[in-house]
Amino acid sequence: MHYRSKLFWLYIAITVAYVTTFLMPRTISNLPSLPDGQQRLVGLAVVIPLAIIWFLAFYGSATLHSYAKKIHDSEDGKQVAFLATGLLIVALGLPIGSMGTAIGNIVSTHNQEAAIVIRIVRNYVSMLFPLVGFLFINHAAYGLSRIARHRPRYRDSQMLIAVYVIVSTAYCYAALSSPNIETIYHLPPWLLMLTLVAPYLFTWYTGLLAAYEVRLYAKNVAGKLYRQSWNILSLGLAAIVTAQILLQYSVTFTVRIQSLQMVRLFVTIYVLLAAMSVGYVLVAAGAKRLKKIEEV
Amino acid sequence: MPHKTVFDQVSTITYDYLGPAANRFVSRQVSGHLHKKPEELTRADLPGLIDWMRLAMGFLTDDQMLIREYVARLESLKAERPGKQSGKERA
Repeated sequence: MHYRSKLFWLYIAITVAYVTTFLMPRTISNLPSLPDGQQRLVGLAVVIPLAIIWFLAFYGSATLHSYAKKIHDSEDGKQVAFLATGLLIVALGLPIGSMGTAIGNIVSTHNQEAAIVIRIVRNYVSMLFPLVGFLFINHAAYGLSRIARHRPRYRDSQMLIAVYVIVSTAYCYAALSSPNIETIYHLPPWLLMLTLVAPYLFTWYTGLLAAYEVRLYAKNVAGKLYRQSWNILSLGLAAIVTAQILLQYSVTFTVRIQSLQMVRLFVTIYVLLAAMSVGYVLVAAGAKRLKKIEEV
Repeated sequence: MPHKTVFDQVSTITYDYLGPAANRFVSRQVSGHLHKKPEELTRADLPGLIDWMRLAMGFLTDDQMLIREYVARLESLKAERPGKQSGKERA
């Protein structure tokens, strides 16, 4: 079976499994103020765009993977393969994290303690996928910037560090000052900082640096059309990193988001989902253009 | 200094548009459409090859200006004496 077919069937299996969780009793306990029927409706209104995003994420990484296969013996082939693997790992983390939440909600109706354990495990698994994925992406980006023989400029490095410090400090504050820190993470603050917040901050730095280095490659590599395709891909990568950061910020604001009115709640959720999908659409578009160059 | 082959000259021009993919792109056009090995490419093959290159570029971009510029640069190779390089290529 081809790699793309395997990914497609994996996507179908995950989506069917996730949708099935909504047929089970009280799968959504995040909106206690709503009756069960409306909770399911809210869930389904989120499941459909989520399934689309997962598809885009799998499609983007599969397209990049098939491009990497076409250029595997070239100088940048190995780096593109690393990039595709990293993106696939990040993409896999999306449905696995959502499945963890759904399973935790189902179990909570029967056994609260088991549900807490599942949520803690889910939090760590959700953190590990982007962490490993962005390590691959960072490795690829470093290799690409070496090929382009362009190292980050001093001013850009300083800017990157400044942005990172602001984003990470604000996140630490948001995570620690969250009114329901115990119900979200089920961990004491020191353990939360050490084992969840710190790895996320490392992931973000790795991701931001990777997005910058791929952008550097895209700006400096030869070939007008080749450069255009890499520009699209690098923008996609930056959008994925931004969406990952936004997603974690939203987790710290879970209680505030849940207390929003229905319309505002939907707008907030859809903005988040849109931010996630933009990155994968751009990656898929860039990878498709690069692949086309190798096919005509 | 050894003379550049026709394949090298075509690849050098293509590099400005397709970057690291240029060599692979030109090799595919030569072997796929002219049924020759890249090193067997001669100046006499250029008219046919340029037609295929124009067509292939049309699949990659809608920018007609860019395609015209690319084709014009390739056409200039037809007029060159064997081994002669343009000023830009020498630079």
